[in-house]
Amino acid sequence: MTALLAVDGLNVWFGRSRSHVLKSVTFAVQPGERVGLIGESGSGKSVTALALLGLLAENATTAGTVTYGGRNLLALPERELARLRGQELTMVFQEPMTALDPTMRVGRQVAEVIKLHDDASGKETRARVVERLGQVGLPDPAGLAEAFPHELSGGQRQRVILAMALMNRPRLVICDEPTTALDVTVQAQVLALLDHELTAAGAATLFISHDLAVVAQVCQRVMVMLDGEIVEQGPVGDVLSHPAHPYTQGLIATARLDRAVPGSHLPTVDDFYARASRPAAKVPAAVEMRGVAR
Amino acid sequence: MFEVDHVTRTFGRRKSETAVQALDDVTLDIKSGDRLGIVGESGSGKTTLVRLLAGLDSPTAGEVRFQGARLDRRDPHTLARLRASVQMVFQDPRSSLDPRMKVGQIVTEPLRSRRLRQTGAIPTDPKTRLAEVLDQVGLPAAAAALYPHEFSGGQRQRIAIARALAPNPDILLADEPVSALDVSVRAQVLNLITDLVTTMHLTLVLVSHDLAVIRHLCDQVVVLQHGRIVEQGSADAVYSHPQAAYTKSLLAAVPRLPD
Repeated sequence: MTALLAVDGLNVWFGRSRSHVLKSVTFAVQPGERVGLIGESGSGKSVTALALLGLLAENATTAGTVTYGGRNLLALPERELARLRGQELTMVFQEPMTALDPTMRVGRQVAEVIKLHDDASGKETRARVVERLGQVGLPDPAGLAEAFPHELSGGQRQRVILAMALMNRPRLVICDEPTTALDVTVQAQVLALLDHELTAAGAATLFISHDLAVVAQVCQRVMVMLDGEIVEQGPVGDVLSHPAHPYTQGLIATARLDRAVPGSHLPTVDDFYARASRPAAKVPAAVEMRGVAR
Repeated sequence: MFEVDHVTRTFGRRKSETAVQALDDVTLDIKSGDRLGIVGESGSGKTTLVRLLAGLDSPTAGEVRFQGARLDRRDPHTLARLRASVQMVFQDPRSSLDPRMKVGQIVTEPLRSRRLRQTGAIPTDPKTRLAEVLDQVGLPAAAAALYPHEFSGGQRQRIAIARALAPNPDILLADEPVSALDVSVRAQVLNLITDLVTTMHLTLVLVSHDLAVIRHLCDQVVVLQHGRIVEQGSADAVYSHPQAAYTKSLLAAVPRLPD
């Protein structure tokens, strides 16, 4: 079986100082496979996502290959890449308020996705928008299409984003912390919807999160990222039961809050993996910019 | 410490269709040394309740009493007394810390308030106090000369906690203090809060949508839904044997690692 997406030796540097944020990242995603990418803030997860879709800031330098459909995405001209984005490769961002245009009614934003790739009449498009909003479990889809993003709750906004991202039956959906800004109950609903939509579209996903428990729920395989490197990858069950890297062991220990004795001293990642010298909390600008619609 | 007496808070014009009842007839007692958790999803009224306790908002009906005195936002003396002994930590340190102030200024700002100094209940030497609280939250003294953006999320929440501790409060109100943090950083901040509450004998009111966090830090819990208390009891009992259907659904929604 050929991989849907093969990333080989992906390196990213930022700025004139060429700070090295991704170091020889290599992995593959099979068709329909759900792969989790886990790591803490600043580890390079979002940079990976942006690099795959050619969305990195202009001060970024990349090396390596990202093979999709026999072509190297990194070498593709922007026009061809733009054609893939929103059609075959889509992305779901963390903060749905910034991913949606605040000045545009929800229905029109969904319609844009349809019109990008389809010559449908206005009436036809409208009917499809309302149908689509209903499919993702939004109440009163016709009324909602006329609403502005700020009139929706966080969970509803993320449903709209999912509706758009999975509209054109993509092959790969990159989800960057899609439920981190949400409450646990809403998170559970959105994850269930994501599962349903991915299955319906037969799409693969690269699911980025800092929460191992969420990744374990969604994905079959997981990759652990630390300071721009993938330090461990494998089937979720194997990694959880036999974590090889001490950092992964630390992540698993911190995620077991439900097992801790109330009030006891919780294990931290540092108990398992001490970094020689943590780089000061300087996060490259491109990471801070995540969620910005482009 | 606190008596919340049949408090209702309505937003929007009263009796209009768009009015929202954020809190609906809530009655609650908080005693010295309590560690109370308030749990519920977005819109359940938990933040409104904490804002009332912090004197940042007034109830539409009913009253909130602090050490026996009715909280009135027009009475500066009660408010000063309240602010000297009740401090708050917010969810997102990126927005709760002024980006243009250095950490030292941020932490000592409450100590420079004339009203707070008049109460005579707060430490008088900002410099010494700054060094003390930075040490308590595990930040180096050099942090005082830096700006908030130079720190990671977990460190920024430590700064916010240091600021809350500066006036030497009796009560700490924490509104979702770890939900904006990575899971890996969460444990560190939870450990810090546990240590501080124990060593400084603080009364803790903690708001969270995550019952696991509440169970870890609190002994009592109140479950809010649509502004009403649907369940309350010891944190362990509510966590292990939830009675209300709503509590059960909250617990079921928390993602857990498979065994």
